[in-house]
Amino acid sequence: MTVQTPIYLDNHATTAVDPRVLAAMLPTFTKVYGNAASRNHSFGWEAEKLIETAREQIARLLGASAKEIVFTSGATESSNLAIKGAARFYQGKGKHLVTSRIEHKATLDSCRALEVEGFEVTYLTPDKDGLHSAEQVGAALRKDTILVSLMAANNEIGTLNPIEEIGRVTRERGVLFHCDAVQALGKIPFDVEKANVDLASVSGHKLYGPKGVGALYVRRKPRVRLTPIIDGGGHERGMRSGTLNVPGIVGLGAACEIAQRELPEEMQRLTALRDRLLAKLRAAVPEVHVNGSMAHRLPGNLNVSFAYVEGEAMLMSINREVACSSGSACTSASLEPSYVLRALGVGDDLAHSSIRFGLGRFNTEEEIDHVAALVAASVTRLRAMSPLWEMVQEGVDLKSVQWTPH
Amino acid sequence: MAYSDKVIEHYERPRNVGSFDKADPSVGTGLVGAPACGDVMKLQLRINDAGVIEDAKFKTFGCGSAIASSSLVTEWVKGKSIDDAGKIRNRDIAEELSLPPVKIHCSVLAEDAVKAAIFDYRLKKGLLSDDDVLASVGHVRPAGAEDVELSPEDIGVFTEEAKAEKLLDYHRAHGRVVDADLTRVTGARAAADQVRARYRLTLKEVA
Repeated sequence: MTVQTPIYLDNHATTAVDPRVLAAMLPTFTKVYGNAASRNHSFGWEAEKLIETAREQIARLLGASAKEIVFTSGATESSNLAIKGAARFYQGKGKHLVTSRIEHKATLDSCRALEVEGFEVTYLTPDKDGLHSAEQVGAALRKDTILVSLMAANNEIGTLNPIEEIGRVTRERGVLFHCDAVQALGKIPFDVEKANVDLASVSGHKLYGPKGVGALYVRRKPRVRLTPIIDGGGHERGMRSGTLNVPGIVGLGAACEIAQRELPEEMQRLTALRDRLLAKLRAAVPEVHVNGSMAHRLPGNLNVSFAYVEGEAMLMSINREVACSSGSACTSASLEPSYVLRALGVGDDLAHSSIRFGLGRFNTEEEIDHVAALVAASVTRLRAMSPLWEMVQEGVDLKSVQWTPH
Repeated sequence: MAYSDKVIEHYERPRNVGSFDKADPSVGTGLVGAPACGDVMKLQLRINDAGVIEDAKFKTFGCGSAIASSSLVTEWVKGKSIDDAGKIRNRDIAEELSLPPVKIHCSVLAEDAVKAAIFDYRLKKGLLSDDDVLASVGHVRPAGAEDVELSPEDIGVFTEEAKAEKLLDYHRAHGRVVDADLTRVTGARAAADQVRARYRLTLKEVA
């Protein structure tokens, strides 16, 4: 049997739009194209009806009510609005925030921007498995702490924070809890009530919806208030001005409804595929190191380091047939390996050797088998030309070598 | 990142991958780079008594551009005298492979690897005169040593302690040393929180 290539295994970066989502979106381009804010004709009313349906669909997946959903242009905007909006509104209560070193850049850079405004931020370091504990969060809270921002699932290593336990602590201490749920939503159960989450960032294109649309869950009981970051016509209860992206929002809603229905089965299927990939890789080549906790991990995530092989070189040999990404410095202009892996204490050498596989709804067992064989062959070929692999085979301890950093 | 066709070609069909016996007196070995930086090159040259490079082999841990740079230099050095090989410049490598600015360091590493291999060969053969030693310090990079002030008794500034010690041994073997100390003199920012250490080897004549 032949497998169609290239195979897409970069589902943490983005996902394909589910054909069912696309079908739901299509009428909004040519038939229901009204502005949802137009109050005095049927085009506007029809659009508004679709928006409200989507709001319900998204809220249901989150365990929230429709009135708690604010539409945005994507999760980067959602996190900016949540963090900056809450910090600026509540700064009278205190000016301290808590987050983690392995958060998404949208969170980290929002925090950095607030530091410039005079806020103080504590950046928690995860344990070697990439996890934070509720105790660790509790210990970082101060009298002037107003917000904790921690993600449900990490976008690089797929690790899952114990958000229900963290939410108990923040609720008890009267601190707001913002959760970047981008990678988790639709992939694992995520419920804002169970986790006592006050603000949650959501993205459309990570769960088989379209790009350019996202949402922010904003708790109503007890009410969370935000200072808007975009001013204008006062849409979305004044929290986010701007004409609503009707096609995007309809797509996001449809994507959430499908995710909710299929989540239990998809979780099982992706976990099995992911475990199959790891088992095949380990059977084929030695020294495969998993980055981050295997027990607390997204079903579709596998982040591994193939020691003594540089990540980008690996991708180069497989990227005609497989799309995935590397934490190697060489994939970025910065020449620095993944800050997430470094925060876990993964050595720079192994960080340079990391590959992230992101499995998704449309991957098949045949594809996984094909990828495993291809990757194993590439690792074997590159190790044969790796001076480090040769030295290790000769019994040299690489740590004892005096290298010339450049 | 999009690679040039030449990089892809060398990456897919690398020339002269492999190793020679390090202990062979006609073989010079250069090992440059660091795993933490994501690039390590090992380049070996087999050199005849006339000082001509008869064969070359490499092994590289690094991205496609690093592999291509090392593969390319193994082709270029063959048949060259060690003096001519030592004149290969990273700019020529970068140009030939159309390396983008962020990959220029790969070509620098390949140039360093050639120089390090030649140095190792000459050290082994006892071919280093005092002037050679001083000149060869170049390959262990007094370049980039702008921030270090060299005094007359300094023999070199090294990024690698082992190399400094090797030189020291050489001088000892030739009865020149005497009283030497190896001091870590300065740190320059490499990447983020990485400190690049330099060692200054000081030789003092004993009366």
